[in-house]
Amino acid sequence: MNQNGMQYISIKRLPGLLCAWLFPFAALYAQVDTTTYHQLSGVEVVGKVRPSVTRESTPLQVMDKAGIERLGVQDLSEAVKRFSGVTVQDYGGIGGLKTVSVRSLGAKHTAVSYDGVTVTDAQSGQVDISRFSLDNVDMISLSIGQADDIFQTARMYASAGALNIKTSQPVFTDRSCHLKAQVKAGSFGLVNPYLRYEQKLGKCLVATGQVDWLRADGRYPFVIQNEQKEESGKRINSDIQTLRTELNLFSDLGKGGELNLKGYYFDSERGLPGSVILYNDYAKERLWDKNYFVQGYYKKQFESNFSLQVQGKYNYSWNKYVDFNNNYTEGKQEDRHTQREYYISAGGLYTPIEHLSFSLTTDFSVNTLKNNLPACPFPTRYTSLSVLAAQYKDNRLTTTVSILNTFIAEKVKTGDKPSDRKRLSPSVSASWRVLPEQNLRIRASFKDIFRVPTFNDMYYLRIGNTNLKPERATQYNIGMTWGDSPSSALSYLNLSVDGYYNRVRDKIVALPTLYIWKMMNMGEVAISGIDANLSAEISCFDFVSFLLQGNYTWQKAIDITNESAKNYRDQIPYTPRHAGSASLSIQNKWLNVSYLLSCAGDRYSLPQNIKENRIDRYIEQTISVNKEFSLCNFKLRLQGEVLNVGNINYEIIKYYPMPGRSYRILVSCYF
Amino acid sequence: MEKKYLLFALCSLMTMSFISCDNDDDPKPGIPTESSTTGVYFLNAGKLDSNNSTLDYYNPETKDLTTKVFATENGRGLGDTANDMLIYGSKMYIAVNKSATIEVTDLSGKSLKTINPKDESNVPQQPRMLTAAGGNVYVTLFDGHLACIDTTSMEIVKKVKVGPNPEGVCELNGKLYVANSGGYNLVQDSTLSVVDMNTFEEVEKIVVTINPKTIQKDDKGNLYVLSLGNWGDIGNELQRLNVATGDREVIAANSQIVSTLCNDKIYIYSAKQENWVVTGYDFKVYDIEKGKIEEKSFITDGTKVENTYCMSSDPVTGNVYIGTSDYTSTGDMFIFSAEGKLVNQVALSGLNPMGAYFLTTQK
Repeated sequence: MNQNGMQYISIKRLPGLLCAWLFPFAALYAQVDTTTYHQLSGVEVVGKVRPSVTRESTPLQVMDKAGIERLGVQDLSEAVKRFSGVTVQDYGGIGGLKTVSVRSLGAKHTAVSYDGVTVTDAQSGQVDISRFSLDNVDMISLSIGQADDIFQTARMYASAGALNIKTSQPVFTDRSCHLKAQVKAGSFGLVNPYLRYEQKLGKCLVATGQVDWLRADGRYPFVIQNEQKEESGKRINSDIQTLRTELNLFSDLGKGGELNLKGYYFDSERGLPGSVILYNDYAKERLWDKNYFVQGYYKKQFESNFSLQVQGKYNYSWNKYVDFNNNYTEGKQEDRHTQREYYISAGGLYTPIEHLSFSLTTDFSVNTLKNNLPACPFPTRYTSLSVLAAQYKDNRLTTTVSILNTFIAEKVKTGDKPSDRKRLSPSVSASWRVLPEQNLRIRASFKDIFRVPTFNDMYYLRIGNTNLKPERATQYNIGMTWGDSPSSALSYLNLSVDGYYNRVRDKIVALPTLYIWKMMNMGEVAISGIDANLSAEISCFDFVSFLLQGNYTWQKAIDITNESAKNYRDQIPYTPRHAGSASLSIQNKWLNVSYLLSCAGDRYSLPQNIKENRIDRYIEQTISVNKEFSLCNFKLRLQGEVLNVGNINYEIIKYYPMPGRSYRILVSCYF
Repeated sequence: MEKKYLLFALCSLMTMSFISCDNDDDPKPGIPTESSTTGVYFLNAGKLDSNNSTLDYYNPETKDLTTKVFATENGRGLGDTANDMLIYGSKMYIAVNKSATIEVTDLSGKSLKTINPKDESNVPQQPRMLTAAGGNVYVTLFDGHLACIDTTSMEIVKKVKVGPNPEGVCELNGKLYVANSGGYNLVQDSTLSVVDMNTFEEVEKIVVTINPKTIQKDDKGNLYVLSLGNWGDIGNELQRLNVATGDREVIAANSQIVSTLCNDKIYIYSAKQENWVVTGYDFKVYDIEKGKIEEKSFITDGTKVENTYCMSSDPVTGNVYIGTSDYTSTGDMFIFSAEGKLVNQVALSGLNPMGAYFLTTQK
């Protein structure tokens, strides 16, 4: 990344450079909507497109490599927590499950894509984002509703929100190979070495390979309140060890198109500390994961107005869960699950006239599950998704209409199978620049989408229910964005405010029927809220710049399932009314400093909004400092962080306490 | 609260008068007839992994409910998933399943001792259900044991291995009957372990309907065993087991059954489910003398009780306590007279009420 970094520094000093639309290395949040991006001449554009967030007709939030480095975040969940309208359900610690829920719709409505292809888990329906490293990430973005990019896989249309992780492509200027070596270390036994090698193999072929290993014992102290008493302890059985490797091939075949291949392998073993149970700290659950996938991407431009894109993936994931407990006659319970996925997506983008484009994309996937549980039905799911989208986009107006057709059939070896599912899901969005000379836009969007029941929902031993209907989510959003670059001192100022209303129907929940739990379609949630984002950069004396970013979310997410229930119209669990985050980074030639703050108001751990279920509000603060040294081609980066500076005891999930004050350092060299 | 202390003093006094017995906590050497109910405790399990078990106290005379008594008395919570409770002599015993503790308290809920059962490898054993007999308290431990607690030292003095995941335990004619649920097994257990009280050894196993949960007895030598079935084709069954003859008869069967035995009657909640949704339910009375279920409904005043979760009965007044839960919100306790008329309905402090437990005094 040194080339990128160098460019970043030099370009920052070009006065009046407003463009972020095509320019990949602009500062974090410097997404100034402009139609004047042709001014870019003279600057090398490396072909990566960074979307303008102010121009989007649905909320889009982006954090790129520069922003990640500037803030000093080292973990994907830490980065995602900087976005508004998002809750990261964090079970604490390095090995703790971390999932992303967009606007209270639940993590199962959020798609996570890794270099364009969605990561799926047909069994649980949600993706643990803690398994991705930030080290090779070039950009992460979060879109709510249907993103404006119509040339995506159909799966990216099939969710209420999407978290996109885009990894770095190497850039070679003078040398044909690069090596990056990095070590992270921190509190609670964290050690994380990382090695990446990039090699140019001729004019049109580039290969990268990387490996990283992480271990931590995660034994952090905590304090929880037990009525009038404080109970303190240490998390136990929270050790983790993971190994990740990735190989990438990028080839530019000129007229033949562009072909990228990726191989990924992940292996981990961890203890599951479970929730803190009063008077009993016994915890002996363990989880082993193995996951590998290969994915390919091919794109070709035909003439000037038609392009084709094909993506495919084979994914294998295996996990073993063991609970050592004297309640089992054998002394333990062991569950093993194997999932496979075969996936292909093909799409075309046709632009018959200027400003108008159409896309048609079809995805087909097969998902299988095997496990050692009794009465495993060995389900196989066949999913066909097709989407037709049309977009009109000029300097002032962007409108997008899409319709997604879903067809799902399932096959089982034993037991009941669900009936085939067919559904049409529309989405509409528009963004309009109100005045030609002012960068003020208003936007509105609508999307109707659903999530299908997961394999666990339908087939899990005893609790699964094959009669489940899909869980539907309807989203409405209306908002405004404004961006300006008032002076050389105030390089930019961006503001966006969105109001939204979501409705979740036929929510899939586990319902007990006196002695046994069963998955049921039982629940309706009405969610209204406001997201506000502000970002600004102030430059002083040519050598110091301040980057300020803040966001705020107000949310009313209430359960309207049953009028006679005690929790009728109560805020749903784990959803704060008020939440926000802010960051300030000071960039200068001596030492870069960042201050990050995130806070959440009171929440409830259970559906009923009573004092006993309340989880107290918290403010978490992190300070990060970093410094880069360059000598010829060699670049050294040193970084240090203090997380949870205030040593605040807080919980995101009740009885899963979060770590107190902790430290992390990073040494990275690149040449 | 003052009233409770009074009660405690009274009970202590009562205990003192029975000092002749070898275990000074044995409450019934002379068998005087019980004649008044002075207080009722409601135990709420809370939600699993939520550390929100609570104990509420109800005064049947003033109809006042005092919530979260254990926390008030002790400055700390009961823990996670209190499963059963027993009032015996001057003490109360609360089995807190997930916390793996047995809280021994005085009659006002003040903890006298916390028992932490552990196996040979020092792994906590989770207590499930309690009974008292012959001056001792017995508790089932979910790892497949029955433990005997000395009521004076408040310690586990002996353990015996029974079947897997034992639930209810009941004493009859010098023997302890333990319901082996085998709930953690792929195929549940279908036996009762019979433990001789003197030798404290398992002497035999009796086969019942799969997944036995609770056991109650009448005074004619019968046990009433509620089995929960296999969560599939076999539903809940309430069986009458004549221990002497070995005869076993199913007296009620349905998708869900909750029952409580009160002197010569058994109150039965029986619900039908289709696709796991309750489509109909009733409350009936089984007459032990006649050996059959009465035609008419128990509730006679038209009160609707949804989401029945537990049932208990006051042996003195004959009142029936029905606890309800929707698993998401705090429960309610409906109190009916023996004639089936609603006496009171109180809002409990916790989710999932496990039952009502009675403080009774002799006149």
